[in-house]
Amino acid sequence: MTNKKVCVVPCSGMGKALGSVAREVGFILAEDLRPDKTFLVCIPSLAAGSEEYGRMLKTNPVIVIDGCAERCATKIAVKNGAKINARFFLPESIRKYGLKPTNRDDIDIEGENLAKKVAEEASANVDKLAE
Amino acid sequence: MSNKKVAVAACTGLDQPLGTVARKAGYQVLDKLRPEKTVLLCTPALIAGVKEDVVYAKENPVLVIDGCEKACCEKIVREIGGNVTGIMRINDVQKQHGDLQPASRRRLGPEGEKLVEIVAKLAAEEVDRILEKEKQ
Repeated sequence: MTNKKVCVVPCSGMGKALGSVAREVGFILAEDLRPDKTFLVCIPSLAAGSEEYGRMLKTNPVIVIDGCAERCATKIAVKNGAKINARFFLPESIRKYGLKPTNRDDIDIEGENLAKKVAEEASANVDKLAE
Repeated sequence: MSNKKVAVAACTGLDQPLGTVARKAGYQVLDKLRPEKTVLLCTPALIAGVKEDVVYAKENPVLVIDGCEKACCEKIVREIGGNVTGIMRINDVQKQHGDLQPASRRRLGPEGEKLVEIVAKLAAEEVDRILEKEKQ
């Protein structure tokens, strides 16, 4: 048995509704679907020099949830030494699932459902990576 | 007359409930309380070096809304050379208002929502003060 955890790095951006959805995907994975297999990475803490987040990113598999074309979560994870094993790009998920949240403050039912779909998809990656 | 706006940078952290309070308070200031006087800074975009956000942070006075004493958002804005003009720490506000406790980082609950309202109101007042000073 291994104690390996999968780091989940959601965008957490505020400019668009998909930043809020990315954040919710992280919470669903870390609290509901795979609490024992995941480690949620807080981007501001990481950037402000958190040693724990930096160490976890360098030594564990990483899943990134990007909210927009800037791909900030990917860039920040890579800059901090992560090797990215799986990546979810939410604009693609919108097309895939036909769900489009519009409110960045309260992601409404479409945003919640989109977050659940992506989290379910990502949980399969978590299971493989945590083996 | 100055056409400057206050750039609001909120914690956006997701490892504790006060990050969620900071985020929601930021939205209240930007979308409801002072929409014409503020612009949003996206903290991950600042870290990733997105030009639009970095330029805003340098050319406008920045109000930082940090969740806790770790002051991550303030560090990030200063790191990119942003013009930090006002700083709010929600844990300080929390102490001054009956120690309101959000239920969780995901669902704030009544006390957390009340804390959001208080922080947003204080932040909106700080926006006004910053812009007054800019005029002088």
